[in-house]
Order: sequence, then C-alpha cells, then structure tokens
Amino acid sequence: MKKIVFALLSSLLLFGFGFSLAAEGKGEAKDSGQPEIVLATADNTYGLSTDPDLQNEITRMIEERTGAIIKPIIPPLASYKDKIATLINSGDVPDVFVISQAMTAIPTMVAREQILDLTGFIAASPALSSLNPSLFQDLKIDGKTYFIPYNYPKAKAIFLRKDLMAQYGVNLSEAPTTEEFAREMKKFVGAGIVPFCFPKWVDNFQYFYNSFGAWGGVYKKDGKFIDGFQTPEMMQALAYVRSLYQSGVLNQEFITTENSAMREKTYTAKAASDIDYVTNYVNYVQNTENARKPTDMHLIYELVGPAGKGGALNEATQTAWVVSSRTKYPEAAVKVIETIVMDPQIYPAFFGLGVENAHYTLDENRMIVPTDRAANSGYKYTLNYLSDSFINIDLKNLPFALSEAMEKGLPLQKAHIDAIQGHLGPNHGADVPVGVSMNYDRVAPTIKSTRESIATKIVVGSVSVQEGMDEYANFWKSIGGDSILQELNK
Amino acid sequence: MSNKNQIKVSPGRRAFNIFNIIFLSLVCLVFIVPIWNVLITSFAKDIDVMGNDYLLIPKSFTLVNYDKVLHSGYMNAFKNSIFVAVAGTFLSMFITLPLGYALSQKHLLGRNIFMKLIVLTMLFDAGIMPFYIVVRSLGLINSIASIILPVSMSTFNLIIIKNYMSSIPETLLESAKLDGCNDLVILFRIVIPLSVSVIAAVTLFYCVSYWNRYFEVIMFINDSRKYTLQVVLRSLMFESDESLGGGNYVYGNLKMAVMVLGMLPVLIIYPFIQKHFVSGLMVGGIKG
Repeated sequence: MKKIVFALLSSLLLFGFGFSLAAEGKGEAKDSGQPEIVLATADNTYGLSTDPDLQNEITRMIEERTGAIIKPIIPPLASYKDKIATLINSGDVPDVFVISQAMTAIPTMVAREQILDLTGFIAASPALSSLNPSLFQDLKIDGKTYFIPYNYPKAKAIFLRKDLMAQYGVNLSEAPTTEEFAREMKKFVGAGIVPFCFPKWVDNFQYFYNSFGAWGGVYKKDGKFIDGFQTPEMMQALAYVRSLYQSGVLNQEFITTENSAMREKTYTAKAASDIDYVTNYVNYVQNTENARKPTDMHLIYELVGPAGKGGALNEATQTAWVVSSRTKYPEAAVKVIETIVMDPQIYPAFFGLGVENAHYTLDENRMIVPTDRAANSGYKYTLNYLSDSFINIDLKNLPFALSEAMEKGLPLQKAHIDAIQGHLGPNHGADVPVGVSMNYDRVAPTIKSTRESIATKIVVGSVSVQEGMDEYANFWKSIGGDSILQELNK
Repeated sequence: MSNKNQIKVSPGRRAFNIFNIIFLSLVCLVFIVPIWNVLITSFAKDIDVMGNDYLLIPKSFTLVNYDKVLHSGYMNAFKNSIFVAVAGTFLSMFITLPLGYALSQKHLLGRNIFMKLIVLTMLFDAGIMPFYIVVRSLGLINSIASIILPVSMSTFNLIIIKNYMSSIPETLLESAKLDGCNDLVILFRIVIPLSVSVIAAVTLFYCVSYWNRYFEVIMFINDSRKYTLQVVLRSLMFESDESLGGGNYVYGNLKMAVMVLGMLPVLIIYPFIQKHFVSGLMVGGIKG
C-alpha cells in the first residue's frame, strides 16, 4: 500500500511541476503604453549566442533605440523555417520576422495577405529610402515593396585554386568564354584531381544557362510568359554542361555532392575549383591554410557564351525582414527593422559580434575573445557584416584587430563583391505572380523538380538532349502547360 | 578419449559452419564499421577529416571536438533532456500501465469501443497545425509540459502492455479478488511484478522517444533556456558555414562528436535492461 501511495504522490508532484512550468511560459505583458513587438529570427543572428541572458543584451539595445518592448523568438537556424511556417499558419504571426528564400516566399505571402506593404514606410524613412533602389527591384510585386533586405544580394562565381592553375598552366580571365573554360579546364583531367567540383543543387546550372541566354523556369520574356526550359537556348546550354561532364571537367558524382564536401575538396586541393558565394572568399583563404594547402583563389564571375551572353548566378534577395499584416504597431515594427538593418552599432551586435563585455572582450592585442558565458553557449562571432552590410564601415579603423588572414583577405573579398555586381546574371525568380493561375501555383513545385531531374539526366548522359527535351515536352503536355501559360498571359 | 565422445562433423557441415562464421562476421562488420568510423572521426583533428575522407584507421587523437560540443550550451540542454525523459517516462508509464490493465480485463464494459477509439489515433494524424492550436489553447506554449503532456501515451506501447497483461492467468487475478484485493492492489501487487520484462521494454521505448523529442520542442518552445539536447545538437550539426573570422567551419569530426554525445545516454541505459527487452516484446506481441 505504501508503494501505491508513494506512486500517487510522486505523480501528483510531477503534474504540479509540469503545470508550474506551463504557467511559467505564459508571462504577462507590460502595460507601459509602449508598443510590444514580437520579433522572430534564427539563432545565427541576435548576437549569435543561445544564452537567453546574452540575447537579452541585444533586446535591451534594440529597446533603447526604438522605445518598443521586444519579445524575441529565436529558434535554431536548422528549424527556423518550420517554426515560422507554424507560427504564421496558426495565426501567432510575429510582428516582424526574417524569411528565407524570399524570392519564392514573399509572392506567396503577399497573395495570402500575410505581410504588410512597406512601400510608404520605406519612403518615409530617411535611412531605408537611402538604400539602392536596385535592392528592391527584383522582388517588387505590382510596384509595391513588401520586404527590407539586410545585406547585399548573394551571387555565385567559380572559385579556382591559383596554385593549381599555375601548376597545370591554366589560363582563364574573370570572364572567359565557354569555349575557353572547357578547353583550359581539360588540362586538369587525368591529373588525379577533380577539375570542377559541383554540388548536388542542380539549380546552380543557371550559372551556365546564363551564358546561353537561357532561364530554367517560367518567366517573362518581352512582356510575355514563356517556359524557359523549352527553348533552343536551353538545349544549347544543356549540351554544353553535358560536354563538361563527358569530358571529365565536371565531377562525376555531383548528384550526391554536398556543399560542404565540395568546399572541402577544394580547400584540400583534391578539386581545382568549385562554385560558391563570393562572400565566402575569405573562408577559402582561411581554410586552404587550415588544410595546409594555402593558396589564393581566382574567381570567374561569368562565362561568356557564343552570343556574348553570360552572368554570375544571381540569387537576388535570399533573406529579408518582413512585417506581419496583422501587427498592431506597423510604424514601430518598421522602426525596429530600420534600427537592426541600418544602425551602425546594432547591426554588428545583431548579425556579427554581440555586445562587448557581454559576448566578447578585447585582449591586449585588441583581438576578439569570447567571454566564458558566450563560449559556453555556442557563440561564434562572424565578420561577414564587414563586407556585405549596408552600413558604412571603415575597415582601417575597426574597434578590434583582425587576424593576418582576415587583414589580407577582407579587402579582396570586398573588391570581389563590388566587381561581381557588374557581372550579375538575371533573376526571374519572382516573375510569376501568385494567385493569377491557380493551376500554375499548384504544379510549380512539380515543374521545378521535373525540370531539374531531366536536366540531370541529360547532363549525366542517361538520355540525349533531344530525348530529355521530348520527355519534358510530354510532361508539359500532361499538366496542361500551354493553357497555364495562357492563364498567366491573360 | 575425449575425441571419441565428440560428434563427428561432416566436411559439408564444417564448410557450412565456416561459411556461417564468414557471413555473420561480414554482417557484423556492416554494423560495426559505421560506428567505428563515427567514433574515430569524432576524435580526429580537422586536417584529417577535410576533404570528406572516410576514416577507418585513426590518424590523430584530440578531445577538442568534444570540448566544443560540451561548451555549446550542452549541459543546460542535457539537464532539460534528462528532466523530459525521466518525467515523461514516469508519467507515460503511470498512464499506460493502469490503462493497459483495464483494457486487458475481459469484463470491462465497452472494452472494444475504448480499444477502437485508441487504435484510431494510430491510424489518423491531424497534422501539425491542429496539434499546435490544441497545445496553444491549453496554454502550454513555451512550457516543458508541452513536450510531455500531448505525447504522454503511445498507442503502440499500450497495445504491448495490454497484450502482455491479457496473458496473465485470470485464475490468479480471481484468487486475489477472493482474498479481498481491489483492482488497484491487484495491479500493483500482482500484475506489475509479473510484467517486469514488458515494463522494462516499454520504459525504454518511452525513454528513448522522449530523449529524441525534437519537433515538439521546436514548435512549442520559444525560450532557448528550455531547449533539449537534440535541438542543441542538431543546431550544431547544421550550423552555417558561411560565416568568417571566427573559425566557424563545421567539419565531420565535430558532427561525429555530436552524434556520440547524443546517443551516449541511451547506449548507457540499454545494457541494463537488455535482458528484459526481447522477452518483454515477444510476449507482449504474440497475444492478440
């Protein structure tokens, strides 16, 4: 009997504890008349620490600048997308939040009236209206802006190891022709290294499509929607990529190659080149040194095709801030974003370093040293903001010292970022408005997966270019592709 | 003398035994090699795992990767996971055992209806949105209880327990009743002591299930102070490698250290209840 009583009492205690934890989660809103803003972002921002007290330091800074009460939701980066989708669909929409894959997410959210039109707010803000209008251009919907970017759009280039270029006598400019690229890269074939390591993300083929004026997907050409995959330009582009694969230039296992594996092969000189974000330049400098294969990297911004076309892989705005259409405080919400994106003290604290004396201290050489508390909470600072943020930073007068590799690499990275702007390829990712053709909205993911699957089959030689195109044409017919285009062109 | 008493092994039998040994050794290798690779990679230095090499022979030894993981908010998350696993398992067993016992009693009125209603939850899943809305309506968002209460009873485990308890002779329970025992006493004094093996197996099931909880934590918890180990470890595994300056690149060795530390508690528990595990499951599984 004692055992029964013990078990029952223990259970009661357990329930009590559980519900006390439940009650702890609720909290009460302050009634100070200040606007309360729920802010959601992933834990690779917000001071880059998972320690709630350190995160509170960032909250405090934003609250001081904006006068708002900030309620942050900071899930891990790996789960951020799922979390935000659940919050939005359940009606618990945060007032301001970061969205990834903005090119596809924003049109959908606009169609569902989930996010606020920020055009007027941006125009009314001296700081935000000073941003280059081109930053908003690719994602305007019916002439309206629904997002605020926080860094320059990302672009991908081909990274080539300079040591291997010299060793094998490979001579390529920053914008060689497709023919030159294929010819020179063949010099690596048979040398026991991968000439060009490509990742499994087949949408990166767009880098090559650009050289032939092709676009993988439905997009607007000369004011009319067309399917870019069924064009003579696309056939040429696929034949070119196929020839790179068949000649051994493109890695033979690309369909299973992760980005991390691709990079590591290049760091360790097992591959001569790969394709990556220009903002990763310094990573290559640092990691080739870590791998004891130090070298500088030569960047190929674009390959110029037979008709003189080409362009870097332009991912346009990938992540951006948006405001919920349900927010009670739109002005305060925009003010919070403006502060995070444009304030020269908040931006580095939010996206890069955290707060001095909380997240880090400076040693006698002015080098950044994480505090014990930060170090125990997964804190790892980043200096990306020095090259890709909108705030003006004097690299020669930083409040901290840079490592030798950073000192050398950072100005070069900035130069590469500036240089690639003149080589950016097109981005038609947001051409098709959501809600115009329900049929298109329904089958768009299938079109993408089929297109990428057939492109892969063509490149690896499972089917000829013509056979692949015929297979795609049959698929297009089966989904009523032509009538979808008619709906879009109405 | 001793040779005379041995059963003579035919050449065919010997060949079969050799084949068996080789075949089963190869099967063992299939399981052992990946675990061995995980273990030695977790102790390897960055330089030895760069380039995505599959290590079979240790090239270096360092504890740096474990140090990094242990300094990534591991301990706090570990405590949360322990609490969720212990409290959750306790609560789950507290619900499952009496329910299993009740449903195993043939004279229970509406037993089939109850059983069908419970089994229905195995067949239909409403999805994350209704789940989220229910948890929010209960006021459980951002509380540890949200990770435990909504999943505190597993139909699968209930069926195992119920089936096992059905196999206990009715005469035993009847004689206890004749001696004046009520149902609660029968459950705690007779049925539970006779069901140790199945209880051990189901306890392990619950414990592992709570230990591996990830999705509910992400969906229902907003305060990182309450994150469990799986969330912290997954976050380490998928850390962005685009940042620069902090030496942030995550190589395979750190990921493997994460894996080892993630599965260690379950590996420690398992041998202690292994002897009950198979027998408990078998007996619970065969009775309809």
